[in-house]
Amino acid sequence: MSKEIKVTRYMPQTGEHITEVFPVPAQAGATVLQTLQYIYEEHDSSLAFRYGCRYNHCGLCGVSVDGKPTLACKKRVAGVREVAPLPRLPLLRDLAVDRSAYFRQFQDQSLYPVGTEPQLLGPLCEDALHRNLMSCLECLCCVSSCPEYNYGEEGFAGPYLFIKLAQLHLDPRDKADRITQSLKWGIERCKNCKKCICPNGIKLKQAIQVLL
Amino acid sequence: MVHYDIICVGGGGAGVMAAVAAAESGATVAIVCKEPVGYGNTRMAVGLTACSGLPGDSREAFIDDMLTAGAGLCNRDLVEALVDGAPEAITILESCGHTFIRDHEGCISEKVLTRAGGHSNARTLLSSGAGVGLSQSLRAAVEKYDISLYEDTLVLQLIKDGEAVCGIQALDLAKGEQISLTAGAVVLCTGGGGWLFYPQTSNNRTATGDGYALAFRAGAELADMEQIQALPFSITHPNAYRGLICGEPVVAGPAGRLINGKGKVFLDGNINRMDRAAVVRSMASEITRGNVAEHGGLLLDLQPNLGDAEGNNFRERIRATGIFDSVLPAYGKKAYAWEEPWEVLPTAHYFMGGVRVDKDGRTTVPGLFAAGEVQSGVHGANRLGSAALTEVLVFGIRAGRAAAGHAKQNKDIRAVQPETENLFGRKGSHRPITLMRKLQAKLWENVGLVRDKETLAITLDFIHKISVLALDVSTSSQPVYNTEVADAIELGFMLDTASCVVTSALLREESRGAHLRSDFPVESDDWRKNIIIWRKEDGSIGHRLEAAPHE
Ligand SMILES: Cc1cc2nc3c(=O)[nH]c(=O)nc-3n(C[C@H](O)[C@H](O)[C@H](O)COP(=O)(O)OP(=O)(O)OC[C@H]3O[C@@H](n4cnc5c(N)ncnc54)[C@H](O)[C@@H]3O)c2cc1C
Ligand code: FES
Repeated sequence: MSKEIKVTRYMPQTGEHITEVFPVPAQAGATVLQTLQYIYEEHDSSLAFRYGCRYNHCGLCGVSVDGKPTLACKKRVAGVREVAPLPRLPLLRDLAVDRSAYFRQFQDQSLYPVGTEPQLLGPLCEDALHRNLMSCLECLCCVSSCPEYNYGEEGFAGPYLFIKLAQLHLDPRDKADRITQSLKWGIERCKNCKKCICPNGIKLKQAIQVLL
Repeated sequence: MVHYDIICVGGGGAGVMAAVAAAESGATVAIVCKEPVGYGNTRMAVGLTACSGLPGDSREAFIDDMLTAGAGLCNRDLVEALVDGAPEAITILESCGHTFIRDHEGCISEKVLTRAGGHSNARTLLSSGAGVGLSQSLRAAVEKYDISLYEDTLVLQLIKDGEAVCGIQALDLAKGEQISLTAGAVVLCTGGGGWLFYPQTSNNRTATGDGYALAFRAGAELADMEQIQALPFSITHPNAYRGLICGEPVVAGPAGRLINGKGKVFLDGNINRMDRAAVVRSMASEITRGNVAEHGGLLLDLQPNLGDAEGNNFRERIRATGIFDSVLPAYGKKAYAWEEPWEVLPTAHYFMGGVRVDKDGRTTVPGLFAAGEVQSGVHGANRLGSAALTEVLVFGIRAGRAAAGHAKQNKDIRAVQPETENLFGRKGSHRPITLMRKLQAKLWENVGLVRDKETLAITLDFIHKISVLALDVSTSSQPVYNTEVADAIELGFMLDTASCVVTSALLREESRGAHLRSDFPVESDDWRKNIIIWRKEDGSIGHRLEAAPHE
């Protein structure tokens, strides 16, 4: 049994997206990632995409599946028509996001606990929401699903940074003012929106609420 | 050429910690890694981290546990350094934002400590957010210590000035351009090589053993390359998840049992008291006799643990670590609730052998240091659960510090710009990925679980044949993020690393720890020795045997 799948590829030379169709096997239990691997191994090894762990432990494989940002390794391919790069983010080529370019924007935001002396396994009451945010895979699906965000536009960081700031705000070891910091990055625009999604159900809305 | 005092190759736990320690010593530091920083196997780890100095534990008990598991191949100096260095390493990591899980009162107590397989005491900390949480703080550490970053940059070779290593040549995958950097010292933190056995591995896609090959080509000695730990429990089907971790002995709990394909229970209870090698050995004997279930695996039945509050509690604790997450998509809800047995197979997990180092990460080549999974000496023939993360943190720090000291003494660098070879748009007859898949299948089949002289010799021939084909590959000409070119380069590393593994496996004519020989099934006292190998002038592999230092 086989099926066809459309793959939208970003062309860095022209900045265009082109769509190609590939025949792929319709195997029970197959994931979108496995299908991309199949295309790479059997049809076209110039196809650029990222992956690491093969199941939900790294966050490298974010793609847009039928218009919805998700993890290629988690999503079953049955019923899927099209795979495309994550929208709104800087891209390298085909499906691969330029993650370095994205993270470089926040390189001077002190995204580590500031203002306390380190102490060996000292007392620390971890908030349940903090624990939840620690398992954020940083796949950037939230940013990609944010209608307010576009890479390169000034003034608004998008959900990923706010998740990080909320995490620090909830961390008793951090004494920096993360609320003012999030205001500078435009968190106000999140107030009546709440459209960002996380493929792992990380509590994005609650986290943003903590800062608002 | 741009110069740094220290270049760390690799951006997992070891690479970032080495960079942090070097930066703290006042050195200028760059991390060069082939993915973004904070990935590698560190990111996929369950996050279990052994710590020393906790109440109810002793330094000697920790050291003894590691030496016992290592079956005579550990370097005692390194084991002591790991145990003594754990508290500092854990403090540095937490200062960058990581959180080890505390109890409801916010303290470390017996409620949150785990006794991982082969440890005599509960000394294992759990990570908030598992390896992912830990790795988030690695990126933060890079910011905190103002470390220069070269991400998506694949190191091709180490540059030498006479005998000493003094820089690197690399391919910037994002641009498709080659770069060269000089350094007072280079710290290799490239992680392991589980991907040599894909899909039968728990490792991530970049664990292609590059560091072993880079060090070997630069003339460094490697030790005990045959010692590759298989984790006893991984998924057998569907193919998407084959080889992924779904447990280690602890997961079996006090009452879990292993059943062969004929329905016979061959391990009943106390699996959680056994170390990984012992469980794998008993599974391997069923597998080689053909007593396997539908997908070639064996059945792990955890249900006997359930039934009372304590059992259900235990399941929830293990589930919270995420170690058997993959069971849900692969085997479904009932299996995830332990109400149905899982089909499991051992999977290639961790390289105990690697680049030979002293306790400060010094290799046998001046200017070259190594730390983390790429190094040897800490775990000998078998690694205890949760000791790898401790290793990468502790030895990352030690190597970073020592490298910074070395760089201070070595200001006068004269590096020759290496030749650049065109890697793009090659018009050969073979696709790198096809050769890679052939190599991997053969390595699992012949070198994966149980080995013998004849098949190892056949495998060496096979590696040689693929090496010849690998000279004649095709690659696309796309400059930006060309993973086919990356595959071609990684294939080269994998071939060298595989040769080192198979050569060492042929030499060791006994079964010890993770190394099982069907033609030499027992451990022999004559073989209580490290197998040390290096690259000779003519490209062949030289070797000698040495009693493990201070055992
Ligand atoms: C699924 C899984 C679960 C695990 N769980 C645990 C656990 O709970 N506790 C524990 O103690 N251990 C665990 N381990 C083992 C442990 O995670 C690893 O041994 C450890 O993280 C290795 O760290 P490292 O820094 O040495 O290498 P890695 O984290 O693998 O990093 C390697 C780095 O080197 C880079 N690199 C490699 N080659 C090149 C090159 N040629 N050029 C440039 N960069 C290169 C990579 O990009 C990466 O940044 C687990 C392993 C796996 C696979
Ligand atoms: S490959 Fe790691 S999350 Fe998908």
